Parts: sequence; C-alpha cells; structure tokens
Amino acid sequence: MAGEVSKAAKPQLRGLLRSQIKRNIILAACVATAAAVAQKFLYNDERKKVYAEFYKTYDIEKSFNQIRNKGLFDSCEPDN
Amino acid sequence: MVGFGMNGMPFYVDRNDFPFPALRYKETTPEIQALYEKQKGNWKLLTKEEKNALYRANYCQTFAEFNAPTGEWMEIVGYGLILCSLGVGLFILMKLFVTTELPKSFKPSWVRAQMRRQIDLQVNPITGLSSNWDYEKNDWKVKTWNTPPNPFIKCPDDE
Repeated sequence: MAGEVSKAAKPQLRGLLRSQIKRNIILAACVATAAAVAQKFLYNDERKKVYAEFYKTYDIEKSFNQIRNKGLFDSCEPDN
Repeated sequence: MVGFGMNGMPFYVDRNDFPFPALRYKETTPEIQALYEKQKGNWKLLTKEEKNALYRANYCQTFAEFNAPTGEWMEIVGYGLILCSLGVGLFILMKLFVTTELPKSFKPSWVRAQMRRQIDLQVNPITGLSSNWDYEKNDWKVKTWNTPPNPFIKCPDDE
C-alpha cells in the first residue's frame, strides 16, 4: 500500500517569531535598496538626460515670441 | 472513543485535515466485533467485502465522497451576478432620471480647442503633451492607439 515516505526536514520549533522577524527585516531592507537603486538608474538618470537634451537646443526667446504672436499672452501684444 | 480525533472531544466528523475521528461511525455489533478480531491478524486474509464492511463501520463517507464537488459555487456566483445586475440597473436609472446634461466644456469641439491652446502654449514640452507634438509637421510625432486625432484639422462642429 504506502511505499517509502521521504523524511521531511524538522521545522524550527523554538524562537520562530524572532527568527522570522529578523529574516523579514533583512529581506525588506534588501528589497527596498534594490528598488531605490533601480529607481535611480532606470528612471531618475533617464529623466535628467531628457531634461539636459531638451535644454541644449531650447531657445526661450523664440518660443516666447511664438506664443506671443498667437495672441495667447494677456500682458504682451502680438507683432502685427 | 478510539483516538484523539479533532479536538479530544467525542465527536465524529469527516475532515481532510483530521482523518481519524474520535469515535467509530457505527455501533459495534457482534458481526463487526468478529471482524475486528480477524483484523488483528494478517490483513491479507481479509476479503474485499470484509475490508469494505470494516471501513463503513468506522467511517461515514470515503475521502472521495466527502470531497466531491457540491455545485455550491454556482449558487454563489448566481447571487453575485444578480447583485451586479442590480447595480447596473441602478446606474441606468441614475442616468435616466437623476444626472443632468454635462457642461459645454465636455463637447468635442471645446476639447479640441482646448488641446489646440495647450499645444500652442507648449505645455509640458520636455516629457508631456508638447513633447509628443511635431511643430514642423503640425501633427503628433508618433501615432499609437491612444493618441487623440490632430486637433488642428477642421471638423464640422468647430466654430
């Protein structure tokens, strides 16, 4: 009927909550640092690069005059 | 009582996690007692009917019997769907009798005019709306499934 049953590992019977809390704190700290590192390298640095690229070729006078000549400012008149 | 059972009390219950109840299911009759004596010896000498009789004397249902699906889930899903349809019905009644017309700023012509103004003002030119607009082509840079149509194209309902 029943064949050979493999022996299961003996579970930890004493101090389980303490060891679980220790393990969970270490795991949480590692996951949080991994998330922060990923955030910096995959998101923040990309964003800074995009902003730098934009401002390399941004002429604020030109865009100001574009918006002004469409009549969208209340304080400045268009050119005509 | 023949064992500890579920909690040490003399109850009979068919459960997966407490497979050996505290009581035998049926009262011990002289025939069953004879089988218990025979069972103390070699089990290979018991016939199939005797084994079945011993099982049914000690247990109400087999594991397959009491684990069998009952179809209770259909009743629960039915009640859940009835409640969902009541919610949908309430929404329909709200739309018909309670809510008034939307303000004019929801009209498509207004929304298009708003987007034209936003693009002209170059809002969010680095990562937002105007960063996706090509000012030379006067159209979106990349058209995907969720880009709105070009707001500068004249439509019949524009003033």
